[in-house]
Amino acid sequence: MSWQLADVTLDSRFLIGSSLYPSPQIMQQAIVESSAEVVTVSLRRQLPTQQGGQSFWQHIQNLNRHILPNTAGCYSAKDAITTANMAREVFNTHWIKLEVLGDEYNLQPDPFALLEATKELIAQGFEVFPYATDDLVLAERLVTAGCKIVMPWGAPIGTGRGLMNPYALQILRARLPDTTLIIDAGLGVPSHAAQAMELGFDGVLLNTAVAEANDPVMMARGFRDGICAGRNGFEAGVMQQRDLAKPSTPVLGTPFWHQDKHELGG
Amino acid sequence: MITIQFNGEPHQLKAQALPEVLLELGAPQMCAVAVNGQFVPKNEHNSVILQDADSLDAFTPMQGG
Repeated sequence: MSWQLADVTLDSRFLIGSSLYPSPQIMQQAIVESSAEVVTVSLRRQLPTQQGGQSFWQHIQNLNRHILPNTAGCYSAKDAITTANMAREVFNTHWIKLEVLGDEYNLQPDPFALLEATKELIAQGFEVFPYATDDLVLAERLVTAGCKIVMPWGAPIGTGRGLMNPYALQILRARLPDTTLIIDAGLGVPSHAAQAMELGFDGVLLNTAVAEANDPVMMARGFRDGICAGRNGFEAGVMQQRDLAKPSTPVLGTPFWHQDKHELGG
Repeated sequence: MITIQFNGEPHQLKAQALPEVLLELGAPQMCAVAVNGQFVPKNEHNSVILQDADSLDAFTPMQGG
């Protein structure tokens, strides 16, 4: 079923990164297999004699996907704002995945600088996709600043640890029902993505788990299916958990009704 | 001739106007430019004249997550 991400309608709820693949060809195949319609990219200084970036960009262009540039590596609002403006010019998009990091050890977002940069970029006409922690107050402040989308981490970037704090994520979903919430970073296996989608998140953005798999193309398919499975589970409406067992097979008229209860199996 | 730092490396240039400098350096068409750390949008390139010891950086598409 299609859904709305900012100003575009998409079929896939998978947003995929373009980094760390063994080769541009495998990146291209993995992105195709993922069915993702949004691909994250970056900007870096490069000498004209180095043609790697041009080749990479040609592969991305051939895929004809929506481009979501990031501000990866920025540690101040000022740097992130400058990078966002450069990305808007180069990629001709007002979308920006806003990363403003506060800690070099776990690459945790700096909530204060993130909010500062968000306000400025929204004033400049950007559609800001902020990479945030799972902190409710930060998410609320970002929404108040004008974000239609918030992207809380599942775990620190590249760790593959899955959803560290499902409770906080559930609270985010419950308190921000009208905000597009995308889990960004920290997932390792398709079941992590399924879990995020079962919680009611609108999408999943990931890179390392696919790119660093032994077979990135197969892992892209695994995440694609995990995201679909989790979303189907959420939309179907999950049953209530019970403390006590309840038979799923009707007990009335069992063939062995005349036996004592303690003689019957499960 | 002036000498500038282009993407962190010294380069001697004949040109000083930014559009000509970019041509002389062979900078890719698809790039964003910063002079002395400040982003210069394309529509302002014509008004920038580089001086000796300035730094020029060109940013091009790269893999990202």
